[in-house]
Amino acid sequence: MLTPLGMKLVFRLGGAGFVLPVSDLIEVNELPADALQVSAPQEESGLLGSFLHRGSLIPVRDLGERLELPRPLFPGEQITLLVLPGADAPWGLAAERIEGVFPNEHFRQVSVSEWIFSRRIWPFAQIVLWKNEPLLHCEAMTLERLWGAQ
Amino acid sequence: MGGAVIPKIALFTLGDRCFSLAVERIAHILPMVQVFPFPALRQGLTGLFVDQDGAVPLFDLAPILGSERASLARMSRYLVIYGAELGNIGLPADKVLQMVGRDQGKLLETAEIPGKMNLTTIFVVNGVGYPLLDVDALLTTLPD
Repeated sequence: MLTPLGMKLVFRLGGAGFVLPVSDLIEVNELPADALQVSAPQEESGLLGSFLHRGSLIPVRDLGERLELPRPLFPGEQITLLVLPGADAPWGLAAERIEGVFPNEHFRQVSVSEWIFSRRIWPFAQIVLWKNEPLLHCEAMTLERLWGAQ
Repeated sequence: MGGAVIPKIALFTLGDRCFSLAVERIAHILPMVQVFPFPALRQGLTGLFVDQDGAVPLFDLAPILGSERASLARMSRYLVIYGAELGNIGLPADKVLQMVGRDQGKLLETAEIPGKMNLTTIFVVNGVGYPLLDVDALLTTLPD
């Protein structure tokens, strides 16, 4: 029997593929990007706005901006909001599309030289193959460190 | 190329440019496969592809060779899998022209060629000059 702990979520952003353990996911929401509450100026770089999640405003962060992906999210565009656990409180990560949730057996970790990554942008280096496509393996806690969380 | 003895040299074209590689460093050559865009790669690496169950970065040679054509790497016909010191890396090529003995041509050490970064060795065969790529040295120049 498959359990959520043995599953991973595949999502896309900026043309690239990412994978996240389902155990790192609180919930998924579909919403137009302009549904986010935005207060200018945004003090935190890579912040798209805030979202009301179970009675609390949580920050929605733009992984694409942080990873310097070429295609930004545009106002009015439909986004997929992944709500993730954080060091202090939940937070949101904007994705363009979800490919699905798949058992761990569908993924295989491959070794690559850490040298290929820009350490300035991405301090972690774990790649998995899924359907013969390399995906960047993410975890909620390590992702949050991109925004300074300890 | 660090003064190493190179018994054979392979000649390639990429767009309107040509280049050469030491055959002994070539793992294999395959038709172009799907190259996936990938985040956070070093500048100069344009994506990852899957080769022999591993993920290999594609090194965009167009700016190295002085070509202004964008997306040359992904649109090329072949992938040359090169055994670099940092690990295997894919180099794009449109034609595999020839593999020749080192003694069939002449290696010229030149001052840096204008418009071509870090290319200082030319292999001249049949009157045509092919920049001989020291891929290990080129990779060390890629900015973080």
